[in-house]
Amino acid sequence: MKFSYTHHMPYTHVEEAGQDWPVANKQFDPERGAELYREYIDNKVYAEEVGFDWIGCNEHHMSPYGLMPNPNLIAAAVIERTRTAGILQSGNIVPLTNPIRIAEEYAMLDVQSGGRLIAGFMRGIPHEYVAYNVAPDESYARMREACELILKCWTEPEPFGWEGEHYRFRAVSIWPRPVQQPHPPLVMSGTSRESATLAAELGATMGVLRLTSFDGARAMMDVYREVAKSDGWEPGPDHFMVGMGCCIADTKDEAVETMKSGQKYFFEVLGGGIRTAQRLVIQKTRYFEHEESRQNFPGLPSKVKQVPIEERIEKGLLLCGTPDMVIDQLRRVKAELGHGRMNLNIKIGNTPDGAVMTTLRHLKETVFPAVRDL
Amino acid sequence: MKFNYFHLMPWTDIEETDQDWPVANKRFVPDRATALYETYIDTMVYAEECGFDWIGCNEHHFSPYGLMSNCNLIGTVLIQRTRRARIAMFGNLVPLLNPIRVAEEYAMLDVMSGGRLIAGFMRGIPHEYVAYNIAPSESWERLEEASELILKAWTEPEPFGWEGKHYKYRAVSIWPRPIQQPHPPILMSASSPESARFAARHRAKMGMVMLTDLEAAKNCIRIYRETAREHGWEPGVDDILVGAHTCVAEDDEAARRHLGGGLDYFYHVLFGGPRTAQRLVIQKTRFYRDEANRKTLGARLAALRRTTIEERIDKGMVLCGTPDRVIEQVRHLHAELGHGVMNINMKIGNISDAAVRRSMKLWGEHVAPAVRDL
Repeated sequence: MKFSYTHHMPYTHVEEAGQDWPVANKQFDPERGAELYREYIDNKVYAEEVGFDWIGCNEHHMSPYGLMPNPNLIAAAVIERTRTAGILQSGNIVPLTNPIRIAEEYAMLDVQSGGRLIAGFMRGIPHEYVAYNVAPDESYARMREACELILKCWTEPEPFGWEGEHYRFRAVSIWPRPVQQPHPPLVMSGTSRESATLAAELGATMGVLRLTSFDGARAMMDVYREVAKSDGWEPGPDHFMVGMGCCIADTKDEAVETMKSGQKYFFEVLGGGIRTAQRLVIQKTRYFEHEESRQNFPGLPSKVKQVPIEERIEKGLLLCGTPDMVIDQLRRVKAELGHGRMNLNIKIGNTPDGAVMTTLRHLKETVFPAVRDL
Repeated sequence: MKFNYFHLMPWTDIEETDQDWPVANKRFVPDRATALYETYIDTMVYAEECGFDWIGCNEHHFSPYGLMSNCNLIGTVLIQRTRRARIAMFGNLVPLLNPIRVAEEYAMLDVMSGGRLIAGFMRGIPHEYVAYNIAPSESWERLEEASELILKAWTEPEPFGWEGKHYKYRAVSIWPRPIQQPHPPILMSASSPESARFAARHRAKMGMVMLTDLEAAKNCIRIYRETAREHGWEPGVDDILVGAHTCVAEDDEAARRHLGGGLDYFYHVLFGGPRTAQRLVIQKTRFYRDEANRKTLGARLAALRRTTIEERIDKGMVLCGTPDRVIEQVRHLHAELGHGVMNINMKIGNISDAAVRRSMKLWGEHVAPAVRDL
């Protein structure tokens, strides 16, 4: 089993729960922000020493949920201070940005790191479209066209023109171009039928970035396998990455308490603005291509409720407990899904950085050695 | 006097002088570029040690001229490895980008650096508009509106909407927001009377990165000061930045040899693609508000190509020679222009990195101490 360390760099000093959206940034204290960036980058760099194969960044806007409106800036900093870890960009939100710019920035990261980039092509979540004022109903069409254009930028040695539906350029030849040939490996989200299909078509590693049920994840992995099969190839375990929250402590109670308190901040504070946004934006939206996808969207107001931590541990949807318990939990999820990659989120809400370090220490000393060969 | 160490990050391995534009990136060798980025970043970090007050990055596209398609990525790397120097962004090319994104990325840099950002709001050069497919005729309007929007995004603590001519957003409140209050210092280009007036109106620092004519420079500075006064403020010496290609060596002959070779590559090879682009794009363009400006630029570029190194030194357009010679040249420039920030560009074309380092060391040990109090 291979492991990726995801850290979305939350802002942890907001007092009130249930904000408007966008969340007013008067609640952001830049001095504290400076400390957080320092701690968080040190922490991401340390993940390499812990034994993570990939270190992940992602993109969010206009809320304390995550402080990486352009995650490529953080990746460049992490690359500078690491030597071997893959750099997983599980943003950029492709339909929101000029695809040429994404191709250029990813190429810079790939060259700077000597070929360590894993390039995420993400579609994002509906309210990010409001932030950047891009029509949500164009998200799939933009996504498909932009992916094609970025791949062309990376692989075409001669200047070319592009006359697409959403993007037009007279002549393109990006400098730099990537080190990895034919291009950097891709990661895409696979939380709906449409996205799993696109991920398979492009041969991307499919991320079930937040596991909500084994059946749901299996269904998407099946979609991916069928598309791959009809395209004439067979995905390996490494093509599937499952994301879970993780908290490890010396006792189960301690781990559960830590996670509960982090989750409370995550749900009530960090999720507050986002829930408001969902209510405003996706009451009626054409972001989803099918009603089924809309109904399954985890952010749907009617779906958002706090499932007790104990219940989620019971169902195998969280990694939480002593090192031995987490080893068992990892074996279980592997047996259920047969995937080759895990994406661990440890800094959940305002989980103290000391507790994050405890989890990392247990992973390094006990858990990783036991599950590497899964 | 303060000093900015400016670096273009050029690609140094091209033989032919006459490229098309965009320059085909088959000429770019990614494996070699990894080492090149490392060398360039190390050099820029070393600038702090050599007593430079600012370290400058900039944005260029589709050519070997510069390998920073998003210079903010290099900005975060420098922040990781420096403690004191200001990070001066001579990109971003604001009219080509989403202004909200520029506000967000600059805020990240400002917070991460603990308030060391100098934020360039640049208009760029005509062919970059072709690269990103933005109408050059809209460049001034876009720069005007985008500048206003970015400042609003930095200073407004409550969410706001924006219904402009070029930019529209339903609700904005960026996370993070900058640490410097009321906002990071702004730098704008002022190489023409038009841009000098624009910079003064916006209370920005004015930059003439590459001096081509002392009388023209004096005129721009005069216009900048006058316009500032009309708008109720008085620029300080720190608000005026003037730049020159620089090479310091143990003897005049070596300095001339290094700089001469580098300039040759700079004007003939690196300018090859942009020259083609100028021909394609600005035969007829509305990038300039009047025809005179267009002709001036074309004539200036042609003249520059023909100028010899000796003429450049005589006219005070480059700083070149032993430390003592360069001290004299800096004093002369300062007496003529009265500027407070010197923009020093030492990696000219394919000048060797060893010669650049030597030049930086001599600058730090001999030149800077002698002219700092000017």
